[in-house]
Amino acid sequence: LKPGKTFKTFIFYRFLYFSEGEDITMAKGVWEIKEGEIRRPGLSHFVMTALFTGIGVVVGTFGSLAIPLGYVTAFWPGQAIQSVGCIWYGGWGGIASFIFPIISNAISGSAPLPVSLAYIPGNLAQGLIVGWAFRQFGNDPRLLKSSDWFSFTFWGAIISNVIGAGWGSTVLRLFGLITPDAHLTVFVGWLIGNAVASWILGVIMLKFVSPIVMKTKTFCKGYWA
Amino acid sequence: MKKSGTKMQKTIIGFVPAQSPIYALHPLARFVLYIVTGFLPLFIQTPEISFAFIVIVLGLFVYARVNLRTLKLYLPMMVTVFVFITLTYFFFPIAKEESVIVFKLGKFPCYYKSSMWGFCIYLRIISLVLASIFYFSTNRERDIMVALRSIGLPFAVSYFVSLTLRSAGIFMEDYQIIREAEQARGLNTANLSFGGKVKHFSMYMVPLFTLSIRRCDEISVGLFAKGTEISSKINGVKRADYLRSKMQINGRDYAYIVGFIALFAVLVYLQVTANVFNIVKSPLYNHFLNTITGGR
Repeated sequence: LKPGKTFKTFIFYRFLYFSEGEDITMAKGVWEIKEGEIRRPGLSHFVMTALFTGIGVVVGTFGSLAIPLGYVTAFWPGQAIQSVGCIWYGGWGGIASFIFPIISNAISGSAPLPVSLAYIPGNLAQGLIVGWAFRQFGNDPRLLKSSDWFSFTFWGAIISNVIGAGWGSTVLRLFGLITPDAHLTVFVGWLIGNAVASWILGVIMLKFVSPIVMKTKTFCKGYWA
Repeated sequence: MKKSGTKMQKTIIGFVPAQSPIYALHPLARFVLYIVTGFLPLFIQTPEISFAFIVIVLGLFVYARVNLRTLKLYLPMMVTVFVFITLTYFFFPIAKEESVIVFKLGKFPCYYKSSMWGFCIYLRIISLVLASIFYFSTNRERDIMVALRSIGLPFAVSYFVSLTLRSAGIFMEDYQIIREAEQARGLNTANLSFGGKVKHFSMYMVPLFTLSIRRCDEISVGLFAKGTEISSKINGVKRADYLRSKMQINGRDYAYIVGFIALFAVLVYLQVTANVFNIVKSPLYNHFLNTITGGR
Protein backbone atom coordinates (compact mmCIF):
# COMPACT_ATOMS: atom_id res chain seq x y z
CA LEU A 1 0.00 0.00 0.00
CA LYS A 2 1.74 3.10 -1.22
CA PRO A 3 0.57 6.67 -1.35
CA GLY A 4 -0.50 7.71 -4.80
CA LYS A 5 1.14 10.45 -6.78
CA THR A 6 -1.60 12.98 -6.39
CA PHE A 7 -2.48 14.64 -3.14
CA LYS A 8 -6.09 13.42 -3.23
CA THR A 9 -5.09 9.80 -3.72
CA PHE A 10 -2.56 10.14 -0.94
CA ILE A 11 -5.15 11.50 1.48
CA PHE A 12 -7.46 8.66 0.47
CA TYR A 13 -4.82 6.02 1.21
CA ARG A 14 -3.77 7.70 4.40
CA PHE A 15 -7.29 7.55 5.79
CA LEU A 16 -7.81 4.12 4.31
CA TYR A 17 -5.06 2.58 6.32
CA PHE A 18 -6.08 4.40 9.42
CA SER A 19 -9.56 2.94 9.02
CA GLU A 20 -8.37 -0.58 8.24
CA GLY A 21 -5.97 -0.55 11.14
CA GLU A 22 -3.00 -1.61 9.04
CA ASP A 23 0.57 -1.29 10.19
CA ILE A 24 1.49 2.20 9.20
CA THR A 25 5.06 1.73 10.40
CA MET A 26 5.78 -0.60 7.51
CA ALA A 27 8.20 1.72 5.72
CA LYS A 28 10.94 2.56 8.22
CA GLY A 29 12.99 4.34 5.57
CA VAL A 30 15.77 6.44 7.00
CA TRP A 31 14.83 5.42 10.53
CA GLU A 32 15.68 1.77 10.00
CA ILE A 33 18.63 0.61 12.09
CA LYS A 34 20.71 -1.60 9.87
CA GLU A 35 22.16 -4.90 10.96
CA GLY A 36 25.30 -4.40 13.00
CA GLU A 37 24.65 -0.67 13.37
CA ILE A 38 25.22 0.42 16.97
CA ARG A 39 23.55 3.63 18.10
CA ARG A 40 24.01 4.85 21.64
CA PRO A 41 23.32 8.22 23.25
CA GLY A 42 26.61 9.93 23.99
CA LEU A 43 28.52 13.12 24.65
CA SER A 44 27.91 14.40 21.12
CA HIS A 45 24.14 14.22 21.68
CA PHE A 46 24.52 16.20 24.89
CA VAL A 47 26.59 18.85 23.08
CA MET A 48 24.24 18.98 20.11
CA THR A 49 21.24 19.43 22.41
CA ALA A 50 22.99 22.34 24.11
CA LEU A 51 23.91 23.88 20.76
CA PHE A 52 20.42 23.36 19.44
CA THR A 53 18.99 24.95 22.58
CA GLY A 54 21.33 27.89 22.03
CA ILE A 55 20.09 28.22 18.47
CA GLY A 56 16.53 28.11 19.77
CA VAL A 57 17.35 30.84 22.29
CA VAL A 58 18.58 33.14 19.52
CA VAL A 59 15.79 32.33 17.07
CA GLY A 60 13.15 32.60 19.81
CA THR A 61 14.56 35.88 21.14
CA PHE A 62 14.99 37.34 17.68
CA GLY A 63 11.45 36.36 16.74
CA SER A 64 10.01 37.90 19.88
CA LEU A 65 11.94 41.15 19.54
CA ALA A 66 11.53 41.52 15.79
CA ILE A 67 7.78 41.04 15.95
CA PRO A 68 6.99 42.27 19.45
CA LEU A 69 3.62 40.75 20.28
CA GLY A 70 4.54 40.09 23.87
CA TYR A 71 3.30 36.91 25.44
CA VAL A 72 1.01 36.16 22.50
CA THR A 73 3.64 34.30 20.53
CA ALA A 74 2.02 34.52 17.11
CA PHE A 75 4.61 34.47 14.30
CA TRP A 76 7.09 32.84 16.66
CA PRO A 77 9.74 31.12 14.51
CA GLY A 78 10.99 29.17 17.54
CA GLN A 79 8.24 26.62 16.99
CA ALA A 80 9.99 25.43 13.81
CA ILE A 81 13.12 24.78 15.86
CA GLN A 82 11.04 22.59 18.19
CA SER A 83 9.49 20.55 15.39
CA VAL A 84 12.63 20.15 13.34
CA GLY A 85 14.73 19.44 16.43
CA CYS A 86 12.49 16.54 17.42
CA ILE A 87 12.55 15.13 13.89
CA TRP A 88 16.35 15.18 13.79
CA TYR A 89 17.26 14.53 17.38
CA GLY A 90 14.23 12.77 18.89
CA GLY A 91 14.08 13.12 22.66
CA TRP A 92 17.11 15.41 22.71
CA GLY A 93 15.18 17.80 20.50
CA GLY A 94 12.32 17.48 22.99
CA ILE A 95 14.61 18.61 25.81
CA ALA A 96 15.71 21.59 23.75
CA SER A 97 12.05 22.32 22.89
CA PHE A 98 11.03 23.13 26.42
CA ILE A 99 14.28 24.67 27.69
CA PHE A 100 15.01 27.30 25.08
CA PRO A 101 11.63 29.11 25.31
CA ILE A 102 12.22 29.67 29.04
CA ILE A 103 15.57 31.36 28.34
CA SER A 104 14.51 33.24 25.22
CA ASN A 105 11.29 34.49 26.84
CA ALA A 106 13.29 35.73 29.83
CA ILE A 107 15.88 37.50 27.68
CA SER A 108 13.42 39.06 25.26
CA GLY A 109 10.95 39.88 28.02
CA SER A 110 8.16 38.40 25.93
CA ALA A 111 6.79 36.23 28.72
CA PRO A 112 7.35 36.31 32.49
CA LEU A 113 9.03 33.37 34.22
CA PRO A 114 5.85 31.83 35.71
CA VAL A 115 4.14 31.90 32.31
CA SER A 116 7.21 30.38 30.64
CA LEU A 117 7.27 27.58 33.20
CA ALA A 118 3.58 26.92 32.63
CA TYR A 119 4.25 26.67 28.88
CA ILE A 120 6.61 23.67 29.41
CA PRO A 121 4.15 20.79 28.76
CA GLY A 122 2.82 22.52 25.65
CA ASN A 123 6.29 23.24 24.29
CA LEU A 124 7.40 19.69 24.94
CA ALA A 125 4.32 18.14 23.32
CA GLN A 126 4.29 20.39 20.28
CA GLY A 127 7.88 19.44 19.52
CA LEU A 128 7.66 15.72 20.27
CA ILE A 129 4.50 15.04 18.30
CA VAL A 130 6.13 15.59 14.91
CA GLY A 131 9.27 13.65 15.88
CA TRP A 132 7.03 10.74 16.84
CA ALA A 133 4.98 11.02 13.62
CA PHE A 134 8.02 11.02 11.34
CA ARG A 135 9.39 7.89 13.01
CA GLN A 136 6.02 6.19 13.24
CA PHE A 137 5.06 6.75 9.61
CA GLY A 138 8.57 6.36 8.19
CA ASN A 139 8.73 9.86 6.73
CA ASP A 140 11.96 11.23 5.35
CA PRO A 141 13.25 14.45 6.99
CA ARG A 142 14.52 15.61 3.57
CA LEU A 143 10.88 15.88 2.44
CA LEU A 144 11.36 13.73 -0.66
CA LYS A 145 7.85 12.37 -1.10
CA SER A 146 4.40 13.88 -0.91
CA SER A 147 3.77 11.83 2.24
CA ASP A 148 6.73 13.58 3.91
CA TRP A 149 5.29 16.96 3.02
CA PHE A 150 1.89 15.89 4.23
CA SER A 151 3.31 14.59 7.49
CA PHE A 152 5.25 17.76 8.23
CA THR A 153 2.33 20.00 7.30
CA PHE A 154 -0.20 17.95 9.23
CA TRP A 155 1.81 16.98 12.31
CA GLY A 156 4.56 19.61 12.35
CA ALA A 157 2.56 22.69 11.43
CA ILE A 158 -1.08 21.96 12.21
CA ILE A 159 -1.37 19.36 14.99
CA SER A 160 1.68 20.58 16.91
CA ASN A 161 0.38 24.13 16.81
CA VAL A 162 -3.12 23.04 17.78
CA ILE A 163 -1.51 21.53 20.89
CA GLY A 164 0.80 24.51 21.44
CA ALA A 165 -1.84 27.17 20.84
CA GLY A 166 -4.41 25.22 22.86
CA TRP A 167 -2.09 24.85 25.82
CA GLY A 168 -0.62 28.35 25.49
CA SER A 169 -3.95 30.14 25.28
CA THR A 170 -5.21 28.13 28.26
CA VAL A 171 -2.15 29.19 30.25
CA LEU A 172 -2.79 32.83 29.33
CA ARG A 173 -6.39 32.46 30.43
CA LEU A 174 -5.39 30.89 33.74
CA PHE A 175 -2.99 33.76 34.38
CA GLY A 176 -5.74 36.24 33.52
CA LEU A 177 -3.79 37.58 30.55
CA ILE A 178 -6.76 37.01 28.29
CA THR A 179 -10.42 36.92 29.14
CA PRO A 180 -12.47 33.69 28.83
CA ASP A 181 -14.40 35.19 25.92
CA ALA A 182 -11.17 35.94 24.06
CA HIS A 183 -9.86 32.39 24.43
CA LEU A 184 -11.05 31.10 21.06
CA THR A 185 -9.91 34.21 19.18
CA VAL A 186 -6.45 34.06 20.74
CA PHE A 187 -6.24 30.33 20.04
CA VAL A 188 -7.10 30.78 16.36
CA GLY A 189 -4.73 33.73 15.93
CA TRP A 190 -1.92 31.90 17.68
CA LEU A 191 -2.54 28.72 15.67
CA ILE A 192 -2.56 30.42 12.27
CA GLY A 193 0.35 32.76 13.03
CA ASN A 194 2.61 30.09 14.42
CA ALA A 195 1.64 27.45 11.86
CA VAL A 196 2.55 29.71 8.96
CA ALA A 197 5.86 30.82 10.50
CA SER A 198 6.86 27.33 11.55
CA TRP A 199 5.88 25.81 8.21
CA ILE A 200 7.99 28.26 6.19
CA LEU A 201 11.04 27.99 8.46
CA GLY A 202 10.61 24.26 9.04
CA VAL A 203 10.37 23.38 5.36
CA ILE A 204 13.50 25.36 4.54
CA MET A 205 15.43 23.71 7.37
CA LEU A 206 14.26 20.21 6.56
CA LYS A 207 14.77 20.54 2.83
CA PHE A 208 18.24 22.09 2.93
CA VAL A 209 19.78 21.07 6.25
CA SER A 210 18.41 17.53 6.71
CA PRO A 211 20.80 16.00 4.14
CA ILE A 212 23.71 17.35 6.22
CA VAL A 213 22.24 16.46 9.61
CA MET A 214 21.48 12.90 8.54
CA LYS A 215 25.15 12.29 7.80
CA THR A 216 26.19 13.24 11.34
CA LYS A 217 26.35 10.81 14.24
CA THR A 218 24.06 12.98 16.33
CA PHE A 219 21.12 12.28 14.03
CA CYS A 220 18.75 10.02 15.99
CA LYS A 221 17.07 7.16 14.19
CA GLY A 222 15.46 6.16 17.45
CA TYR A 223 14.33 8.51 20.20
CA TRP A 224 17.71 8.85 21.92
CA ALA A 225 20.31 7.74 19.36
CA MET B 1 33.32 58.32 38.09
CA LYS B 2 29.70 58.47 37.08
CA LYS B 3 30.64 57.91 33.47
CA SER B 4 32.60 54.77 34.24
CA GLY B 5 29.79 53.65 36.55
CA THR B 6 27.22 53.50 33.75
CA LYS B 7 29.57 51.83 31.31
CA MET B 8 28.03 48.61 30.04
CA GLN B 9 29.88 45.45 29.26
CA LYS B 10 28.90 42.96 26.55
CA THR B 11 28.05 39.47 27.66
CA ILE B 12 26.95 36.56 25.54
CA ILE B 13 23.27 37.26 26.01
CA GLY B 14 23.18 41.00 26.54
CA PHE B 15 24.77 43.87 28.43
CA VAL B 16 25.62 44.23 32.12
CA PRO B 17 27.18 47.20 33.94
CA ALA B 18 30.97 47.05 34.07
CA GLN B 19 30.83 47.97 37.74
CA SER B 20 27.83 47.72 39.97
CA PRO B 21 27.07 47.63 43.70
CA ILE B 22 24.78 44.66 43.02
CA TYR B 23 27.87 42.56 42.28
CA ALA B 24 28.63 42.65 46.00
CA LEU B 25 25.72 40.24 46.41
CA HIS B 26 26.45 36.58 45.83
CA PRO B 27 24.89 35.24 42.56
CA LEU B 28 22.64 32.96 44.61
CA ALA B 29 21.18 35.96 46.45
CA ARG B 30 20.58 37.69 43.12
CA PHE B 31 18.94 34.53 41.78
CA VAL B 32 16.63 34.33 44.80
CA LEU B 33 15.77 38.00 44.27
CA TYR B 34 14.88 37.13 40.67
CA ILE B 35 12.63 34.25 41.72
CA VAL B 36 10.92 36.41 44.35
CA THR B 37 10.39 39.37 42.02
CA GLY B 38 9.47 36.98 39.22
CA PHE B 39 6.57 35.46 41.16
CA LEU B 40 5.46 38.11 43.65
CA PRO B 41 3.45 40.25 41.17
CA LEU B 42 1.19 37.24 40.55
CA PHE B 43 -0.25 37.76 44.02
CA ILE B 44 -0.80 41.49 43.64
CA GLN B 45 -3.99 42.88 42.11
CA THR B 46 -4.02 46.46 43.33
CA PRO B 47 -2.64 48.84 40.70
CA GLU B 48 -0.96 51.08 43.31
CA ILE B 49 1.14 48.22 44.68
CA SER B 50 1.95 46.94 41.19
CA PHE B 51 3.01 50.43 40.19
CA ALA B 52 5.13 50.73 43.34
CA PHE B 53 6.71 47.39 42.48
CA ILE B 54 7.61 48.70 39.00
CA VAL B 55 9.14 51.83 40.54
CA ILE B 56 11.16 49.69 42.97
CA VAL B 57 12.48 47.50 40.14
CA LEU B 58 13.35 50.60 38.09
CA GLY B 59 15.08 51.92 41.21
CA LEU B 60 17.07 48.70 41.32
CA PHE B 61 18.09 49.31 37.70
CA VAL B 62 19.41 52.73 38.68
CA TYR B 63 21.07 51.41 41.84
CA ALA B 64 22.74 48.62 39.86
CA ARG B 65 23.97 51.23 37.34
CA VAL B 66 22.23 49.58 34.42
CA ASN B 67 21.99 51.93 31.47
CA LEU B 68 18.26 52.59 31.23
CA ARG B 69 18.59 53.19 27.50
CA THR B 70 18.79 49.40 27.10
CA LEU B 71 15.12 49.29 28.10
CA LYS B 72 14.23 51.05 24.83
CA LEU B 73 14.58 47.69 23.13
CA TYR B 74 11.60 46.39 25.09
CA LEU B 75 9.41 49.44 24.53
CA PRO B 76 7.64 48.13 21.38
CA MET B 77 6.77 44.93 23.24
CA MET B 78 5.40 46.91 26.19
CA VAL B 79 3.27 49.05 23.87
CA THR B 80 1.88 46.08 21.92
CA VAL B 81 1.09 44.22 25.14
CA PHE B 82 -0.80 47.29 26.38
CA VAL B 83 -2.77 47.54 23.14
CA PHE B 84 -3.46 43.80 23.15
CA ILE B 85 -4.69 43.70 26.74
CA THR B 86 -6.79 46.85 26.30
CA LEU B 87 -8.47 45.47 23.18
CA THR B 88 -8.98 42.05 24.77
CA TYR B 89 -10.67 43.45 27.88
CA PHE B 90 -12.70 45.90 25.79
CA PHE B 91 -14.03 43.57 23.10
CA PHE B 92 -14.13 40.42 25.26
CA PRO B 93 -14.97 41.88 28.68
CA ILE B 94 -15.23 40.09 31.98
CA ALA B 95 -17.98 40.80 34.53
CA LYS B 96 -20.52 41.75 31.86
CA GLU B 97 -23.30 41.52 34.40
CA GLU B 98 -22.08 44.71 36.10
CA SER B 99 -23.90 47.89 35.23
CA VAL B 100 -21.04 50.37 35.43
CA ILE B 101 -20.24 51.41 31.89
CA VAL B 102 -17.56 54.03 31.33
CA PHE B 103 -18.43 54.78 27.71
CA LYS B 104 -19.77 53.10 24.61
CA LEU B 105 -17.97 52.67 21.31
CA GLY B 106 -20.73 51.87 18.84
CA LYS B 107 -22.40 48.77 20.21
CA PHE B 108 -19.44 47.90 22.43
CA PRO B 109 -19.74 49.09 26.03
CA CYS B 110 -16.57 49.69 28.05
CA TYR B 111 -17.19 48.03 31.41
CA TYR B 112 -15.43 49.60 34.37
CA LYS B 113 -14.40 46.42 36.14
CA SER B 114 -13.14 44.78 32.96
CA SER B 115 -11.05 47.83 32.01
CA MET B 116 -9.55 48.16 35.48
CA TRP B 117 -8.79 44.48 35.68
CA GLY B 118 -7.09 44.67 32.25
CA PHE B 119 -5.02 47.60 33.49
CA CYS B 120 -3.99 45.65 36.61
CA ILE B 121 -3.01 42.66 34.48
CA TYR B 122 -0.90 44.95 32.30
CA LEU B 123 0.91 46.36 35.32
CA ARG B 124 1.46 42.83 36.58
CA ILE B 125 2.98 41.72 33.28
CA ILE B 126 5.27 44.74 33.11
CA SER B 127 6.39 44.07 36.72
CA LEU B 128 7.23 40.47 35.87
CA VAL B 129 8.97 41.35 32.63
CA LEU B 130 11.05 44.09 34.25
CA ALA B 131 12.11 41.67 36.99
CA SER B 132 13.31 39.29 34.30
CA ILE B 133 15.13 42.00 32.36
CA PHE B 134 16.77 43.20 35.57
CA TYR B 135 18.16 39.76 36.31
CA PHE B 136 19.68 39.36 32.86
CA SER B 137 21.00 42.93 32.96
CA THR B 138 22.91 42.36 36.17
CA ASN B 139 24.18 38.81 35.85
CA ARG B 140 26.90 37.44 33.64
CA GLU B 141 26.73 33.86 32.42
CA ARG B 142 29.16 32.76 35.11
CA ASP B 143 26.91 34.31 37.79
CA ILE B 144 24.00 32.27 36.47
CA MET B 145 26.18 29.13 36.60
CA VAL B 146 27.26 29.80 40.16
CA ALA B 147 23.65 30.39 41.22
CA LEU B 148 22.48 27.16 39.60
CA ARG B 149 25.30 25.17 41.18
CA SER B 150 24.69 26.80 44.56
CA ILE B 151 21.08 25.62 44.65
CA GLY B 152 22.40 22.10 44.14
CA LEU B 153 21.55 21.44 40.52
CA PRO B 154 23.53 18.50 39.08
CA PHE B 155 26.71 19.36 37.22
CA ALA B 156 25.21 18.03 33.95
CA VAL B 157 22.37 20.56 34.15
CA SER B 158 24.54 23.58 34.93
CA TYR B 159 27.07 22.50 32.29
CA PHE B 160 24.25 22.13 29.80
CA VAL B 161 23.02 25.65 30.55
CA SER B 162 26.52 27.11 30.22
CA LEU B 163 27.05 25.32 26.91
CA THR B 164 23.65 26.57 25.75
CA LEU B 165 24.45 30.18 26.59
CA ARG B 166 27.86 29.87 24.97
CA SER B 167 26.36 28.38 21.83
CA ALA B 168 23.79 31.18 21.71
CA GLY B 169 26.76 33.57 21.63
CA ILE B 170 28.48 31.57 18.89
CA PHE B 171 25.28 31.46 16.90
CA MET B 172 24.84 35.24 17.16
CA GLU B 173 28.43 35.80 16.02
CA ASP B 174 27.89 33.53 13.03
CA TYR B 175 24.63 35.33 12.29
CA GLN B 176 26.43 38.67 12.33
CA ILE B 177 29.15 37.38 10.00
CA ILE B 178 26.57 36.12 7.50
CA ARG B 179 24.68 39.43 7.63
CA GLU B 180 27.86 41.43 7.08
CA ALA B 181 28.77 39.20 4.15
CA GLU B 182 25.33 39.86 2.65
CA GLN B 183 25.67 43.60 3.14
CA ALA B 184 29.13 43.51 1.58
CA ARG B 185 27.52 41.96 -1.48
CA GLY B 186 24.99 44.83 -1.57
CA LEU B 187 21.87 43.23 -0.10
CA ASN B 188 19.52 45.75 1.48
CA THR B 189 16.95 44.03 3.67
CA ALA B 190 15.28 47.33 4.64
CA ASN B 191 13.31 47.35 1.38
CA LEU B 192 12.01 43.82 1.79
CA SER B 193 8.32 43.24 2.48
CA PHE B 194 7.22 41.51 5.71
CA GLY B 195 6.88 38.18 3.87
CA GLY B 196 10.25 38.75 2.26
CA LYS B 197 11.83 39.40 5.65
CA VAL B 198 10.35 36.19 7.09
CA LYS B 199 11.62 34.20 4.09
CA HIS B 200 15.00 35.90 4.28
CA PHE B 201 15.31 35.16 8.00
CA SER B 202 14.45 31.52 7.29
CA MET B 203 17.23 31.30 4.74
CA TYR B 204 19.77 32.26 7.41
CA MET B 205 19.10 28.92 9.06
CA VAL B 206 20.85 26.95 6.35
CA PRO B 207 24.41 28.29 6.79
CA LEU B 208 23.91 28.75 10.53
CA PHE B 209 22.91 25.14 11.08
CA THR B 210 25.72 23.88 8.90
CA LEU B 211 28.18 25.84 11.02
CA SER B 212 26.56 24.59 14.24
CA ILE B 213 26.83 20.97 13.17
CA ARG B 214 30.52 21.50 12.48
CA ARG B 215 30.98 23.17 15.85
CA CYS B 216 29.13 20.35 17.59
CA ASP B 217 31.66 17.89 16.20
CA GLU B 218 34.55 20.14 17.23
CA ILE B 219 33.25 20.64 20.79
CA SER B 220 32.40 16.94 21.23
CA VAL B 221 35.85 15.87 20.04
CA GLY B 222 37.45 18.53 22.26
CA LEU B 223 35.55 17.34 25.34
CA PHE B 224 36.28 13.73 24.52
CA ALA B 225 39.99 14.48 24.06
CA LYS B 226 40.06 16.21 27.47
CA GLY B 227 38.36 13.20 29.03
CA THR B 228 35.44 15.31 30.22
CA GLU B 229 32.83 13.44 32.20
CA ILE B 230 29.44 15.07 32.52
CA SER B 231 28.79 13.99 36.08
CA SER B 232 28.88 15.57 39.53
CA LYS B 233 31.36 12.98 40.79
CA ILE B 234 34.57 11.70 39.26
CA ASN B 235 35.73 8.31 40.51
CA GLY B 236 33.32 8.68 43.43
CA VAL B 237 34.79 12.02 44.48
CA LYS B 238 32.82 15.27 44.24
CA ARG B 239 33.94 17.37 41.30
CA ALA B 240 36.02 20.46 42.17
CA ASP B 241 34.18 23.70 41.42
CA TYR B 242 36.49 26.55 40.50
CA LEU B 243 33.76 29.14 39.99
CA ARG B 244 32.10 28.52 43.33
CA SER B 245 35.45 28.57 45.10
CA LYS B 246 36.01 32.07 43.68
CA MET B 247 32.57 33.29 44.73
CA GLN B 248 32.07 32.33 48.34
CA ILE B 249 28.73 32.97 49.94
CA ASN B 250 28.91 34.85 53.26
CA GLY B 251 26.65 35.66 56.18
CA ARG B 252 25.36 38.88 54.65
CA ASP B 253 24.27 36.98 51.52
CA TYR B 254 22.43 34.45 53.66
CA ALA B 255 20.72 37.30 55.47
CA TYR B 256 19.57 38.80 52.16
CA ILE B 257 18.33 35.41 50.94
CA VAL B 258 16.35 34.82 54.13
CA GLY B 259 15.04 38.40 53.94
CA PHE B 260 13.85 38.00 50.33
CA ILE B 261 12.16 34.69 51.05
CA ALA B 262 10.56 36.00 54.26
CA LEU B 263 9.22 39.08 52.47
CA PHE B 264 7.79 36.89 49.74
CA ALA B 265 6.20 34.51 52.25
CA VAL B 266 4.63 37.34 54.27
CA LEU B 267 3.16 39.11 51.23
CA VAL B 268 1.80 35.88 49.77
CA TYR B 269 0.35 34.93 53.17
CA LEU B 270 -1.37 38.32 53.46
CA GLN B 271 -2.92 37.97 50.03
CA VAL B 272 -3.98 34.34 50.40
CA THR B 273 -5.46 34.68 53.87
CA ALA B 274 -6.71 38.27 53.98
CA ASN B 275 -6.92 39.32 50.32
CA VAL B 276 -4.92 42.43 51.18
CA PHE B 277 -3.93 43.12 47.58
CA ASN B 278 -7.37 42.48 46.10
CA ILE B 279 -8.42 44.96 43.43
CA VAL B 280 -11.64 45.95 45.24
CA LYS B 281 -9.51 47.17 48.16
CA SER B 282 -7.63 49.54 45.91
CA PRO B 283 -8.24 53.24 46.72
CA LEU B 284 -7.63 54.11 43.07
CA TYR B 285 -10.21 51.57 41.91
CA ASN B 286 -12.79 52.84 44.36
CA HIS B 287 -12.01 56.49 43.63
CA PHE B 288 -12.61 56.07 39.91
CA LEU B 289 -15.70 53.98 40.59
CA ASN B 290 -17.15 56.70 42.81
CA THR B 291 -16.30 59.35 40.22
CA ILE B 292 -18.08 57.43 37.47
CA THR B 293 -21.12 56.42 39.49
CA GLY B 294 -21.28 59.66 41.41
CA GLY B 295 -21.02 57.78 44.71
CA ARG B 296 -24.21 55.76 44.08
